[in-house]
Amino acid sequence: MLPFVFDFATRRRLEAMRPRLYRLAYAWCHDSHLADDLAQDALTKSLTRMGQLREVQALEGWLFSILNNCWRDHLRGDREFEDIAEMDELIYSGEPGPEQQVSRRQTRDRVRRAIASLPLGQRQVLTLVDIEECAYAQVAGILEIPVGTVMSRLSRARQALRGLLENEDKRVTQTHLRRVK
Amino acid sequence: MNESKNEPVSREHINAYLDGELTLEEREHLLIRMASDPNLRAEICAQRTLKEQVRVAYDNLPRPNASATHRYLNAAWRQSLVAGVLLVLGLSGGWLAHDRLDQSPVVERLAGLPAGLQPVTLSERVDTQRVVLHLDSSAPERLSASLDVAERLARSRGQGQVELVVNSFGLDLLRQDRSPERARIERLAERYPNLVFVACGQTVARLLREGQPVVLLPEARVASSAINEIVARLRQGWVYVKV
Repeated sequence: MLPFVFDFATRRRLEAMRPRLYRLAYAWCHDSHLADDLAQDALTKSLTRMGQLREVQALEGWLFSILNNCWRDHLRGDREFEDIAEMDELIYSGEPGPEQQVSRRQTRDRVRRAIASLPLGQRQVLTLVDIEECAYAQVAGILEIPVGTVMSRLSRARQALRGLLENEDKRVTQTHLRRVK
Repeated sequence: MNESKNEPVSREHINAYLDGELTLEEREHLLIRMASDPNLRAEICAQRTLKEQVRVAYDNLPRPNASATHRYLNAAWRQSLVAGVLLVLGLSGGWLAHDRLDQSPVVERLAGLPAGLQPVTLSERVDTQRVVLHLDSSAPERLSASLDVAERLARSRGQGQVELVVNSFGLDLLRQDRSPERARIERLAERYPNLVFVACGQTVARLLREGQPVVLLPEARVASSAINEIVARLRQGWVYVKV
Protein backbone atom coordinates (compact mmCIF):
# COMPACT_ATOMS: atom_id res chain seq x y z
CA MET A 1 0.00 0.00 0.00
CA LEU A 2 1.12 3.50 -0.71
CA PRO A 3 1.57 5.64 2.36
CA PHE A 4 -1.15 8.29 1.99
CA VAL A 5 -0.67 11.26 4.23
CA PHE A 6 -3.02 13.58 2.39
CA ASP A 7 -6.42 12.64 1.16
CA PHE A 8 -6.58 10.46 -1.91
CA ALA A 9 -8.60 12.75 -4.18
CA THR A 10 -6.29 15.71 -3.64
CA ARG A 11 -3.24 13.62 -4.31
CA ARG A 12 -4.75 12.21 -7.44
CA ARG A 13 -5.61 15.63 -8.81
CA LEU A 14 -2.16 16.98 -8.10
CA GLU A 15 -0.43 13.93 -9.47
CA ALA A 16 -2.51 14.18 -12.62
CA MET A 17 -1.02 17.63 -13.16
CA ARG A 18 2.56 16.35 -13.01
CA PRO A 19 2.99 15.68 -16.75
CA ARG A 20 1.73 19.16 -17.57
CA LEU A 21 3.92 20.82 -14.97
CA TYR A 22 6.89 18.89 -16.29
CA ARG A 23 6.09 19.83 -19.89
CA LEU A 24 5.70 23.51 -19.03
CA ALA A 25 8.86 23.56 -16.93
CA TYR A 26 10.68 21.83 -19.76
CA ALA A 27 9.46 24.45 -22.24
CA TRP A 28 10.91 27.10 -19.94
CA CYS A 29 14.29 25.54 -19.13
CA HIS A 30 14.84 22.87 -21.84
CA ASP A 31 16.53 20.58 -19.33
CA SER A 32 14.80 17.33 -18.44
CA HIS A 33 16.32 16.92 -14.96
CA LEU A 34 15.70 20.49 -13.95
CA ALA A 35 12.16 20.33 -15.33
CA ASP A 36 11.49 17.22 -13.29
CA ASP A 37 12.86 18.89 -10.16
CA LEU A 38 10.79 22.01 -10.76
CA ALA A 39 7.62 19.98 -11.27
CA GLN A 40 8.38 18.03 -8.10
CA ASP A 41 9.08 21.21 -6.13
CA ALA A 42 5.84 22.75 -7.33
CA LEU A 43 3.84 19.66 -6.34
CA THR A 44 5.48 19.45 -2.92
CA LYS A 45 4.85 23.13 -2.25
CA SER A 46 1.28 22.82 -3.45
CA LEU A 47 0.61 20.01 -0.96
CA THR A 48 1.73 22.16 1.93
CA ARG A 49 -0.30 25.11 0.69
CA MET A 50 -3.46 23.27 -0.27
CA GLY A 51 -5.40 25.35 2.23
CA GLN A 52 -4.77 28.47 0.15
CA LEU A 53 -6.68 27.11 -2.81
CA ARG A 54 -10.24 28.38 -2.72
CA GLU A 55 -11.77 27.29 -6.00
CA VAL A 56 -11.48 23.95 -7.74
CA GLN A 57 -11.29 25.63 -11.16
CA ALA A 58 -8.33 27.72 -10.06
CA LEU A 59 -6.14 24.66 -9.50
CA GLU A 60 -4.23 24.81 -12.78
CA GLY A 61 -3.40 28.51 -12.66
CA TRP A 62 -2.48 28.20 -9.01
CA LEU A 63 -0.07 25.34 -9.72
CA PHE A 64 1.47 27.19 -12.65
CA SER A 65 2.12 30.23 -10.49
CA ILE A 66 3.79 28.00 -7.87
CA LEU A 67 5.88 26.52 -10.68
CA ASN A 68 6.82 30.02 -11.77
CA ASN A 69 7.96 30.81 -8.22
CA CYS A 70 10.06 27.65 -8.09
CA TRP A 71 11.62 28.61 -11.43
CA ARG A 72 12.38 32.12 -10.18
CA ASP A 73 13.96 30.72 -7.01
CA HIS A 74 16.08 28.50 -9.16
CA LEU A 75 17.22 31.36 -11.40
CA ARG A 76 18.06 33.47 -8.39
CA GLY A 77 20.28 30.71 -7.02
CA ASP A 78 21.96 29.99 -10.31
CA ARG A 79 22.59 33.07 -12.37
CA GLU A 80 25.01 31.35 -14.66
CA PHE A 81 22.32 28.92 -15.69
CA GLU A 82 22.51 28.23 -19.40
CA ASP A 83 19.12 27.21 -20.66
CA ILE A 84 20.02 25.93 -24.08
CA ALA A 85 22.69 23.57 -22.85
CA GLU A 86 21.74 20.01 -23.60
CA MET A 87 19.93 21.11 -26.74
CA ASP A 88 22.49 19.47 -29.02
CA GLU A 89 22.24 16.31 -27.03
CA LEU A 90 18.50 16.43 -27.29
CA ILE A 91 18.54 16.95 -31.02
CA TYR A 92 20.99 14.24 -31.90
CA SER A 93 20.10 11.67 -29.26
CA GLY A 94 17.64 8.83 -29.54
CA GLU A 95 17.24 5.86 -31.81
CA PRO A 96 16.63 6.76 -35.44
CA GLY A 97 13.08 5.60 -36.11
CA PRO A 98 11.14 5.35 -39.35
CA GLU A 99 11.51 8.32 -41.69
CA GLN A 100 8.20 9.85 -40.73
CA GLN A 101 9.06 9.85 -37.08
CA VAL A 102 12.39 11.46 -37.79
CA SER A 103 10.75 14.19 -39.82
CA ARG A 104 8.17 14.89 -37.12
CA ARG A 105 10.86 14.94 -34.47
CA GLN A 106 12.97 17.29 -36.55
CA THR A 107 10.07 19.72 -36.81
CA ARG A 108 9.55 19.56 -33.07
CA ASP A 109 13.25 20.01 -32.35
CA ARG A 110 13.43 22.96 -34.69
CA VAL A 111 10.52 24.65 -32.90
CA ARG A 112 11.94 23.83 -29.47
CA ARG A 113 15.30 25.25 -30.45
CA ALA A 114 13.65 28.45 -31.65
CA ILE A 115 11.59 28.74 -28.46
CA ALA A 116 14.70 28.13 -26.35
CA SER A 117 16.34 31.14 -27.97
CA LEU A 118 13.51 33.53 -27.04
CA PRO A 119 13.92 35.83 -24.04
CA LEU A 120 12.63 34.12 -20.90
CA GLY A 121 9.64 36.44 -20.39
CA GLN A 122 8.41 35.86 -23.93
CA ARG A 123 9.02 32.13 -23.65
CA GLN A 124 6.88 31.85 -20.53
CA VAL A 125 3.96 33.78 -21.98
CA LEU A 126 4.09 31.88 -25.27
CA THR A 127 4.16 28.46 -23.65
CA LEU A 128 1.39 29.23 -21.16
CA VAL A 129 -0.89 30.45 -23.96
CA ASP A 130 -0.06 27.85 -26.61
CA ILE A 131 0.76 24.73 -24.63
CA GLU A 132 -1.45 25.19 -21.60
CA GLU A 133 -4.15 27.18 -23.42
CA CYS A 134 -4.29 29.72 -20.62
CA ALA A 135 -6.38 32.88 -21.11
CA TYR A 136 -4.42 36.15 -21.17
CA ALA A 137 -5.85 37.18 -17.81
CA GLN A 138 -4.79 33.86 -16.32
CA VAL A 139 -1.23 34.27 -17.66
CA ALA A 140 -1.13 37.78 -16.20
CA GLY A 141 -2.10 36.32 -12.82
CA ILE A 142 0.40 33.47 -12.96
CA LEU A 143 3.38 35.62 -13.95
CA GLU A 144 2.21 38.68 -12.01
CA ILE A 145 2.40 41.03 -14.99
CA PRO A 146 -0.26 43.27 -16.64
CA VAL A 147 -2.45 41.83 -19.42
CA GLY A 148 -1.01 44.42 -21.82
CA THR A 149 2.45 43.02 -21.19
CA VAL A 150 1.16 39.51 -21.83
CA MET A 151 -0.16 40.65 -25.21
CA SER A 152 2.95 42.53 -26.26
CA ARG A 153 5.31 39.75 -25.17
CA LEU A 154 3.21 37.19 -26.97
CA SER A 155 3.21 39.28 -30.11
CA ARG A 156 6.98 39.76 -30.01
CA ALA A 157 7.53 36.09 -29.23
CA ARG A 158 5.48 34.89 -32.19
CA GLN A 159 7.07 37.39 -34.54
CA ALA A 160 10.57 36.35 -33.48
CA LEU A 161 9.67 32.69 -33.67
CA ARG A 162 8.36 33.03 -37.21
CA GLY A 163 11.53 34.83 -38.21
CA LEU A 164 13.70 32.13 -36.65
CA LEU A 165 11.80 29.27 -38.26
CA GLU A 166 11.65 30.93 -41.67
CA ASN A 167 15.38 31.66 -41.62
CA GLU A 168 16.07 28.10 -40.73
CA ASP A 169 13.81 26.88 -43.53
CA LYS A 170 15.86 28.95 -45.97
CA ARG A 171 19.10 27.64 -44.54
CA VAL A 172 17.92 24.04 -44.74
CA THR A 173 16.77 24.53 -48.35
CA GLN A 174 20.08 26.12 -49.34
CA THR A 175 22.10 23.36 -47.71
CA HIS A 176 19.96 20.83 -49.43
CA LEU A 177 20.42 22.51 -52.82
CA ARG A 178 24.15 22.65 -52.36
CA ARG A 179 24.23 18.99 -51.57
CA VAL A 180 22.19 18.11 -54.61
CA LYS A 181 24.52 19.94 -57.01
CA MET B 1 -9.05 45.48 -28.42
CA ASN B 2 -11.02 47.70 -30.75
CA GLU B 3 -9.94 47.84 -34.36
CA SER B 4 -11.47 50.38 -36.73
CA LYS B 5 -12.70 49.18 -40.09
CA ASN B 6 -9.97 50.49 -42.36
CA GLU B 7 -6.85 50.29 -40.27
CA PRO B 8 -4.65 47.27 -40.81
CA VAL B 9 -5.37 44.52 -38.31
CA SER B 10 -2.66 44.52 -35.64
CA ARG B 11 -0.62 41.47 -34.68
CA GLU B 12 -2.06 41.66 -31.17
CA HIS B 13 -5.58 41.52 -32.60
CA ILE B 14 -4.80 38.48 -34.77
CA ASN B 15 -3.22 36.81 -31.75
CA ALA B 16 -6.26 37.58 -29.63
CA TYR B 17 -8.47 36.05 -32.31
CA LEU B 18 -6.42 32.84 -32.46
CA ASP B 19 -6.19 32.61 -28.69
CA GLY B 20 -9.93 32.94 -28.25
CA GLU B 21 -9.65 36.32 -26.53
CA LEU B 22 -11.96 38.36 -28.76
CA THR B 23 -15.57 39.07 -27.93
CA LEU B 24 -18.18 37.70 -30.28
CA GLU B 25 -18.62 41.12 -31.86
CA GLU B 26 -14.89 41.51 -32.46
CA ARG B 27 -14.75 38.08 -34.01
CA GLU B 28 -17.59 38.97 -36.33
CA HIS B 29 -15.80 42.13 -37.45
CA LEU B 30 -12.62 40.22 -38.11
CA LEU B 31 -14.50 37.56 -40.07
CA ILE B 32 -15.97 40.33 -42.25
CA ARG B 33 -12.48 41.67 -42.88
CA MET B 34 -11.20 38.19 -43.64
CA ALA B 35 -13.96 37.64 -46.15
CA SER B 36 -12.58 40.42 -48.36
CA ASP B 37 -8.89 40.27 -47.53
CA PRO B 38 -6.90 37.24 -48.73
CA ASN B 39 -3.68 38.62 -47.21
CA LEU B 40 -5.29 38.76 -43.80
CA ARG B 41 -6.52 35.20 -44.23
CA ALA B 42 -3.02 34.07 -45.19
CA GLU B 43 -1.53 35.88 -42.20
CA ILE B 44 -4.01 34.26 -39.84
CA CYS B 45 -3.30 30.84 -41.33
CA ALA B 46 0.44 31.35 -40.86
CA GLN B 47 -0.02 32.44 -37.26
CA ARG B 48 -2.32 29.51 -36.57
CA THR B 49 0.26 27.11 -37.97
CA LEU B 50 2.88 28.64 -35.70
CA LYS B 51 0.60 28.26 -32.69
CA GLU B 52 0.05 24.60 -33.52
CA GLN B 53 3.77 24.02 -33.94
CA VAL B 54 4.41 25.42 -30.47
CA ARG B 55 1.55 23.42 -29.05
CA VAL B 56 2.94 20.06 -30.19
CA ALA B 57 6.64 20.90 -29.76
CA TYR B 58 6.71 19.49 -26.24
CA ASP B 59 4.74 16.29 -26.74
CA ASN B 60 6.67 13.10 -25.97
CA LEU B 61 9.37 14.82 -23.99
CA PRO B 62 12.45 12.92 -22.88
CA ARG B 63 12.04 11.82 -19.25
CA PRO B 64 14.85 12.00 -16.75
CA ASN B 65 15.93 8.84 -14.93
CA ALA B 66 12.94 6.99 -13.59
CA SER B 67 14.45 6.63 -10.14
CA ALA B 68 14.21 10.36 -9.58
CA THR B 69 10.48 10.42 -10.28
CA HIS B 70 7.52 8.32 -9.20
CA ARG B 71 7.68 9.76 -5.76
CA TYR B 72 3.99 9.59 -5.03
CA LEU B 73 2.47 6.91 -7.17
CA ASN B 74 3.58 3.95 -9.20
CA ALA B 75 3.79 3.81 -12.99
CA ALA B 76 0.59 1.87 -13.59
CA TRP B 77 -1.40 4.35 -11.62
CA ARG B 78 0.25 7.21 -13.51
CA GLN B 79 -0.90 5.66 -16.79
CA SER B 80 -4.49 5.50 -15.68
CA LEU B 81 -4.47 9.20 -14.92
CA VAL B 82 -3.82 10.26 -18.51
CA ALA B 83 -7.50 10.00 -19.37
CA GLY B 84 -8.31 12.22 -16.41
CA VAL B 85 -5.87 14.86 -17.60
CA LEU B 86 -7.46 14.90 -21.04
CA LEU B 87 -10.85 15.34 -19.49
CA VAL B 88 -9.68 18.28 -17.41
CA LEU B 89 -8.10 19.91 -20.48
CA GLY B 90 -11.24 19.64 -22.55
CA LEU B 91 -13.60 20.74 -19.83
CA SER B 92 -11.54 23.73 -18.80
CA GLY B 93 -11.18 24.81 -22.43
CA GLY B 94 -14.92 24.76 -22.86
CA TRP B 95 -15.46 26.60 -19.67
CA LEU B 96 -13.09 29.41 -20.64
CA ALA B 97 -14.49 29.72 -24.14
CA HIS B 98 -18.00 29.90 -22.84
CA ASP B 99 -17.01 32.54 -20.38
CA ARG B 100 -15.66 34.85 -23.05
CA LEU B 101 -18.53 34.79 -25.51
CA ASP B 102 -21.29 37.33 -25.85
CA GLN B 103 -24.76 36.91 -27.25
CA SER B 104 -25.07 37.26 -31.01
CA PRO B 105 -27.27 40.23 -31.94
CA VAL B 106 -28.50 38.73 -35.22
CA VAL B 107 -29.58 35.23 -34.36
CA GLU B 108 -30.22 35.20 -30.68
CA ARG B 109 -31.36 31.65 -30.52
CA LEU B 110 -30.87 28.88 -32.98
CA ALA B 111 -33.39 26.06 -32.68
CA GLY B 112 -31.73 22.82 -31.62
CA LEU B 113 -28.54 24.43 -30.35
CA PRO B 114 -27.51 23.45 -26.81
CA ALA B 115 -27.11 26.20 -24.25
CA GLY B 116 -23.58 27.57 -24.11
CA LEU B 117 -22.96 27.57 -27.87
CA GLN B 118 -23.28 30.88 -29.70
CA PRO B 119 -24.40 31.34 -33.30
CA VAL B 120 -22.56 33.88 -35.48
CA THR B 121 -23.83 35.34 -38.74
CA LEU B 122 -22.39 37.71 -41.33
CA SER B 123 -24.87 38.04 -44.15
CA GLU B 124 -27.91 40.34 -44.09
CA ARG B 125 -30.07 37.45 -45.20
CA VAL B 126 -29.56 34.67 -42.74
CA ASP B 127 -30.86 31.18 -43.39
CA THR B 128 -31.13 29.44 -40.05
CA GLN B 129 -31.77 26.14 -41.84
CA ARG B 130 -28.11 26.07 -42.87
CA VAL B 131 -25.48 25.77 -40.20
CA VAL B 132 -21.70 25.39 -40.38
CA LEU B 133 -20.14 23.91 -37.23
CA HIS B 134 -16.45 24.32 -36.48
CA LEU B 135 -14.29 22.03 -34.34
CA ASP B 136 -10.55 22.57 -33.69
CA SER B 137 -9.99 20.44 -30.60
CA SER B 138 -9.18 16.76 -30.33
CA ALA B 139 -10.39 16.30 -26.75
CA PRO B 140 -12.52 13.12 -26.94
CA GLU B 141 -15.51 14.70 -25.25
CA ARG B 142 -15.37 17.65 -27.63
CA LEU B 143 -15.36 15.25 -30.57
CA SER B 144 -18.44 13.46 -29.35
CA ALA B 145 -20.14 16.69 -28.26
CA SER B 146 -19.65 18.15 -31.75
CA LEU B 147 -21.35 15.08 -33.22
CA ASP B 148 -24.19 15.45 -30.73
CA VAL B 149 -24.77 19.01 -31.91
CA ALA B 150 -24.42 18.05 -35.59
CA GLU B 151 -26.92 15.23 -35.21
CA ARG B 152 -29.41 17.35 -33.36
CA LEU B 153 -29.25 20.12 -35.95
CA ALA B 154 -29.37 17.72 -38.91
CA ARG B 155 -32.41 15.96 -37.46
CA SER B 156 -34.30 19.21 -36.92
CA ARG B 157 -33.39 20.51 -40.39
CA GLY B 158 -34.69 17.85 -42.72
CA GLN B 159 -34.54 20.17 -45.72
CA GLY B 160 -31.69 22.32 -44.47
CA GLN B 161 -27.97 21.60 -44.38
CA VAL B 162 -25.43 21.07 -41.65
CA GLU B 163 -21.70 21.10 -42.24
CA LEU B 164 -19.14 20.10 -39.62
CA VAL B 165 -15.77 21.65 -40.51
CA VAL B 166 -12.70 20.41 -38.63
CA ASN B 167 -9.19 21.81 -38.59
CA SER B 168 -6.13 21.84 -36.37
CA PHE B 169 -6.44 19.16 -33.68
CA GLY B 170 -10.10 18.70 -34.58
CA LEU B 171 -8.95 16.88 -37.71
CA ASP B 172 -8.60 13.78 -35.51
CA LEU B 173 -12.36 13.38 -35.75
CA LEU B 174 -12.07 12.52 -39.44
CA ARG B 175 -8.77 10.60 -39.37
CA GLN B 176 -9.01 6.89 -40.00
CA ASP B 177 -6.36 5.96 -37.43
CA ARG B 178 -7.27 8.48 -34.75
CA SER B 179 -11.01 8.99 -34.71
CA PRO B 180 -12.76 7.37 -31.77
CA GLU B 181 -16.06 8.10 -33.57
CA ARG B 182 -15.65 6.23 -36.87
CA ALA B 183 -18.71 4.03 -36.47
CA ARG B 184 -20.90 6.89 -35.39
CA ILE B 185 -19.84 9.09 -38.30
CA GLU B 186 -20.64 6.32 -40.74
CA ARG B 187 -24.06 5.89 -39.15
CA LEU B 188 -24.76 9.63 -39.14
CA ALA B 189 -23.72 10.05 -42.78
CA GLU B 190 -26.09 7.24 -43.74
CA ARG B 191 -29.01 8.51 -41.74
CA TYR B 192 -28.66 12.24 -42.51
CA PRO B 193 -27.82 13.04 -46.14
CA ASN B 194 -28.01 16.74 -45.21
CA LEU B 195 -25.04 16.38 -42.84
CA VAL B 196 -21.59 16.84 -44.36
CA PHE B 197 -18.14 16.38 -42.80
CA VAL B 198 -15.40 18.67 -44.08
CA ALA B 199 -11.65 18.50 -43.34
CA CYS B 200 -9.30 21.48 -43.60
CA GLY B 201 -6.95 20.97 -46.58
CA GLN B 202 -4.38 23.23 -44.99
CA THR B 203 -4.16 21.12 -41.84
CA VAL B 204 -3.90 17.95 -43.93
CA ALA B 205 -1.13 19.50 -46.04
CA ARG B 206 0.78 20.60 -42.95
CA LEU B 207 0.63 17.14 -41.37
CA LEU B 208 1.80 15.55 -44.61
CA ARG B 209 4.67 18.02 -44.81
CA GLU B 210 5.65 17.02 -41.30
CA GLY B 211 5.75 13.42 -42.41
CA GLN B 212 2.58 12.26 -40.68
CA PRO B 213 0.42 9.85 -42.64
CA VAL B 214 -3.10 11.27 -43.03
CA VAL B 215 -5.90 8.95 -44.05
CA LEU B 216 -9.36 10.46 -43.81
CA LEU B 217 -12.65 8.64 -43.28
CA PRO B 218 -14.57 7.95 -46.50
CA GLU B 219 -17.30 10.31 -45.29
CA ALA B 220 -14.93 13.30 -45.16
CA ARG B 221 -14.72 15.94 -47.85
CA VAL B 222 -11.69 18.20 -48.05
CA ALA B 223 -11.93 22.00 -48.37
CA SER B 224 -8.99 24.20 -49.40
CA SER B 225 -8.91 25.47 -45.84
CA ALA B 226 -11.32 25.61 -42.90
CA ILE B 227 -11.25 29.40 -42.83
CA ASN B 228 -12.08 29.66 -46.53
CA GLU B 229 -14.92 27.20 -46.14
CA ILE B 230 -16.40 28.98 -43.13
CA VAL B 231 -16.10 32.42 -44.67
CA ALA B 232 -17.70 31.20 -47.90
CA ARG B 233 -20.60 29.69 -45.97
CA LEU B 234 -21.07 32.81 -43.87
CA ARG B 235 -21.26 34.88 -47.05
CA GLN B 236 -23.97 32.57 -48.32
CA GLY B 237 -26.04 33.33 -45.25
CA TRP B 238 -25.18 30.25 -43.18
CA VAL B 239 -25.04 30.39 -39.41
CA TYR B 240 -21.63 29.65 -37.89
CA VAL B 241 -21.21 27.90 -34.56
CA LYS B 242 -17.91 27.02 -32.89
CA VAL B 243 -18.40 23.73 -31.08
